[in-house]
Amino acid sequence: MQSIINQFYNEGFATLFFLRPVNFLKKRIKNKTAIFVLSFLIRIIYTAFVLYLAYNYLSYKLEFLFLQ
Amino acid sequence: MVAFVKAIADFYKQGIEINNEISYILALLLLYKAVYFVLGMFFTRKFNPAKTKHKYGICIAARNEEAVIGNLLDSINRQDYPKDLYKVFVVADNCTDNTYKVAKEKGATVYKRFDDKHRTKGFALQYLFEKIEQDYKRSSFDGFFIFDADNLLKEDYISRMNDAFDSGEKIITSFRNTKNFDENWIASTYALHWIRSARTNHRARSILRLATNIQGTGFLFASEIVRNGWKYTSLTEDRALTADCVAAGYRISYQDAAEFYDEQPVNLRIALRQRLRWSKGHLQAFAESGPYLFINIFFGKLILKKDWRDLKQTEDRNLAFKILESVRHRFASFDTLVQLTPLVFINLLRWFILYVLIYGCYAYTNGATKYLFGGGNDFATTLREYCDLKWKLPPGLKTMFICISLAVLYRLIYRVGEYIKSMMDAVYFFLVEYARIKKMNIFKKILYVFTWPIFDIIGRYTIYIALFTKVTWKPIPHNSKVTIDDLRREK
Repeated sequence: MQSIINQFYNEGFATLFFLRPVNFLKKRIKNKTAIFVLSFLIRIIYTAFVLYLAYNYLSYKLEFLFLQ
Repeated sequence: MVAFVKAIADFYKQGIEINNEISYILALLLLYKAVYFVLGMFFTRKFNPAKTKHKYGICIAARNEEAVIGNLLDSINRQDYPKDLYKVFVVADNCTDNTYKVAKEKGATVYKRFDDKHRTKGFALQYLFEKIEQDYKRSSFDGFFIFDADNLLKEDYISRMNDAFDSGEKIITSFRNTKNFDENWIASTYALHWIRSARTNHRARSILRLATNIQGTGFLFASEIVRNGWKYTSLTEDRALTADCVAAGYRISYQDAAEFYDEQPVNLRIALRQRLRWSKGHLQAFAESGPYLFINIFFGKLILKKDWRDLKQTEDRNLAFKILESVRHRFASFDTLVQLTPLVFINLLRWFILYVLIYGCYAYTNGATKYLFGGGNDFATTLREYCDLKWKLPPGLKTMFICISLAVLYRLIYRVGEYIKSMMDAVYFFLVEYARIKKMNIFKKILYVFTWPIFDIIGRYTIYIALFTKVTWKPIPHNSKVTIDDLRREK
């Protein structure tokens, strides 16, 4: 399970939409608490974004398949 | 004649109902592909570092490959895996150049083969495995890798594949990258196709412990698979091997961390020739293994090819495991059967019968009311928003021909819509595989996004052609001078 969660936040989409923004923040902000809070927020936004994307893709596919 | 046309026209409404039923069934049967896509977005199977280093034979079938085989053998010789645990075998198949000499100089065990009647790669591998049995015994190796002469391996390739093999997997495929991604648009379509295979098939199937498809080169299998020799000599030996292994109950895993490079065709004529061979090979594999796979869906492991039966594996397992294994095997058989089934031809046939033949007759007897831009997809709907030109046509021959022409136009509109959607896939692949794709100009990437859907268009038409033509195996020339060091530097 841990490996699955690690993959979710470290590969593919995560490199662009999660790791990059977090690394950007780490470079620009010195305050550790602020980094922690902002990273947490980005993590939540990223999770919500990809889940929304996956849900939309599946529902679109379902609709499309039945329409063809 | 008119009575005959009327009889066909009367069938139109019933035909629509039947077609809808078929559509629903196909949609349900193919829905799992969308789940694969989503799973592949985020997950792949990871393997723990191996406890045992296994002994492997590396098999390469080469025909006039003096330009590229040296670089492959160099990349093999530089693996971080103990040298005494792998041995390289090359079959110089009908070679008229220095392939034998180059391979020998690089330390490979090389066998010459001359047989112009049996020309496929499968026959060359069959010969090679016979020679290995004679000189070394196949059972002295734990497993065998298969590569093409134009491949290049990353330094840790064998180590990563060994991780997967040591976990108990018997057949494993790996990530196929492209040497010449940015050489031209034809090579880029192939490169994106291999990424698509990994992203939308291999990754999800490895997570779900199903059987993914072996793709020609860059795979490893346990020596038990060839205990009776190599028997896959058709035009696409990889498809035949996949189908046969799945039918026999094996699962086929995928190691995302093991990466190798492959050279793709840059010439349209050669690409078309290769795609025609693939299509014919798919159809052959469908005809040969389709019935076995179909039976497996319903009867599981009750009816298996006898020489592959290996019941020891499950004897000491509990009932829950046996049930799960049975479900897994049946689904893997179904999945492989779907891959081999020429669905594009079935869909074309459905369209032709209903919307050209029957609807043409219906329009002839009843007249029709038609939009200029018809169809249910997003592209057609958008076109209708801008131009909703609609006609009411009286019965007659003229209406029949107009309706048939419009059916062809609607099909084209549908395909253009599909083309645009397919371009989005390319954007996705460029984004998620950013780190592994060769660095290139952004304008080239944009161009390749536009040209990528042509790959599937070619695939569709070569299936139609392959159904009615005899296809013979011809070698694909490889000339790339790229080495594994060049690729590392470019990244």
